[in-house]
Amino acid sequence: MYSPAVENLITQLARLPGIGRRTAQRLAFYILRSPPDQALALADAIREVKEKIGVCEECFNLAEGPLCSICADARRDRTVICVVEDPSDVVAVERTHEYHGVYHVLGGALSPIDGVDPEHLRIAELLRRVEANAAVEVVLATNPTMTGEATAVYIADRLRGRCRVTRLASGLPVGGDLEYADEVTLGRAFSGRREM
Amino acid sequence: MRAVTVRGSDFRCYERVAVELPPGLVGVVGPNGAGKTALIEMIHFGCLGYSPRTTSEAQVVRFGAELLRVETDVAVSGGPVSVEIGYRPGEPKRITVNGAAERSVERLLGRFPVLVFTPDRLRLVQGAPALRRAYFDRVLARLWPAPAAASAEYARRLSQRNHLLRRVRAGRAEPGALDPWDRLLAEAGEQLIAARARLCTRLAGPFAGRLGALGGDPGEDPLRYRPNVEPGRSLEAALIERRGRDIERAVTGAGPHLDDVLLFEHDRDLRLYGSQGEQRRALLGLILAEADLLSEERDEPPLLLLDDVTGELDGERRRLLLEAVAGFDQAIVTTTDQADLGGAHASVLTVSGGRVAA
Ligand SMILES: Nc1ncnc2c1ncn2[C@@H]1O[C@H](COP(=O)(O)OP(=O)(O)O)[C@@H](O)[C@H]1O
Ligand SMILES: [Mg+2]
Ligand SMILES: [Zn+2]
Repeated sequence: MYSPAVENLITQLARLPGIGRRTAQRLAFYILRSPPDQALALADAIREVKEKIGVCEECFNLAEGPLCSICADARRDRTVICVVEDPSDVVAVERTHEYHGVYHVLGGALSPIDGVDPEHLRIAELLRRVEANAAVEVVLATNPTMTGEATAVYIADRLRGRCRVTRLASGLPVGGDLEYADEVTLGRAFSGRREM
Repeated sequence: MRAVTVRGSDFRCYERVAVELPPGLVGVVGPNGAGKTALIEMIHFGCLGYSPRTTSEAQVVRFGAELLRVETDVAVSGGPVSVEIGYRPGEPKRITVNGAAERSVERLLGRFPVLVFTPDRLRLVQGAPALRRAYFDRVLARLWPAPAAASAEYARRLSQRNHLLRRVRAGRAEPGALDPWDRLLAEAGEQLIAARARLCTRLAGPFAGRLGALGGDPGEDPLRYRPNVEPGRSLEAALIERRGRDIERAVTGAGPHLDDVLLFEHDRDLRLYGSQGEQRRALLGLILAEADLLSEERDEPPLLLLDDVTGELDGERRRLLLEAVAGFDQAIVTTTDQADLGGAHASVLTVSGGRVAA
């Protein structure tokens, strides 16, 4: 057993994804040994993002204000909505420079095993936005994984007859993450999107 | 394919052993308890990374030892390959193929066509349908890796749908949330059904032939695929139709996870009505049929490991069997009685007390 302060640091670190208790211990000891300003810079950085960065009221992307930089940009086409799982996917699609519409960040993908049902994702908000923006096309850019596929199928069923619904072309590595696709592949998947 | 040498340490009764394996028919001869089955098991473990006999693999490590190693040199159509496997119970196996680390045991299965008969595998004929599904899906994985992937994908989707059924039953999710899972499950399921149907069609001829050659009476149709949902029917429609009942029971009640494959002689289901001898013959016929299909698809005859096959066959059937396996690059056959090898042209390895001599 370590002192309560050290124990608390280990516990907090171990809550991060992909970090087990062993790694958390190693990180904690590294922090204990490092110079005070370096360690505190990490604490400050965490505080700063939590204070400054919130969620966009429109699309649920990360935002430094009520709206994200994309929703705040008047040149973006609001009648085309690209649906992604996470904010990191917005970054991936933006890198392709192929897309000029807006986004909708669901906050994950359907996965009953993990207890993620439709009401845990921002699907109702998406359906409202489609009406409000008089959207002409929704591009389903959830990951080419089982859960991403299920999410796309679920949303497509609910949008049928309301607007054009498309899905990124195959060619993306199956089971992979949008986030890790290179911009050429992703750009091609975007321009080759098909009706669902 | 054939095995050229196998060296093992602390595998079953073998503390340290090195065996040269000649091509063609190889008899492994010795009294009960000598280590014949252990040698077959070691060659299998050495090529494919797992024991065909037991699921609690810690048993294969010699009593009192902590870890085992098996090094096998094989000749496949691509050239010579050496496989080294180290295993300490509770840890992942250390596998190298020609010196390069291999993380996935499953990959060995696709790479090395090795087929084994051991009496332990009789469960395949006698046991629950799940054992036969697992067997046929493994055969698929070896023959056609792409369609075979449907099996693992189907299992993942099925467990998602079952979880969701439980949540819907408990009132924690809407029934509409099942829509995408019905569609995804049906998509993988229909692929799996088609792949199994194709496999059974392709195996049926060789199976009937082999069964007949072993003295059986295959009749019209000895290998009968019994899909829960027929190929060509919509699995999604079946799932939607059952949705109410599925929610009540919180399990998916239609799909290829409920398939079976029946083995028949004439009009008797061998699982229910076969004698022990008939069941053994059917298992042997199935393995030889698999060998035929594998030879055809891969242009390379597999290595056959046959433990205790000759004992229960009469003289004529034994002769036919030995004649049949003589067509392979190598068939390693155990027996307590060298006379069982009859006049067949065989190399003989003598096993006793954890030693093997040519
Ligand atoms: N893990 C083990 N360590 C040491 N000896 C074992 C182990 N498992 C089995 N044995 C012994 O190995 C001997 C050979 O068994 P086996 O290969 O089945 O003989 P057979 O020649 O009849 O096929 C038997 O005496 C058995 O008790
Ligand atoms: Mg034996
Ligand atoms: Zn936004």
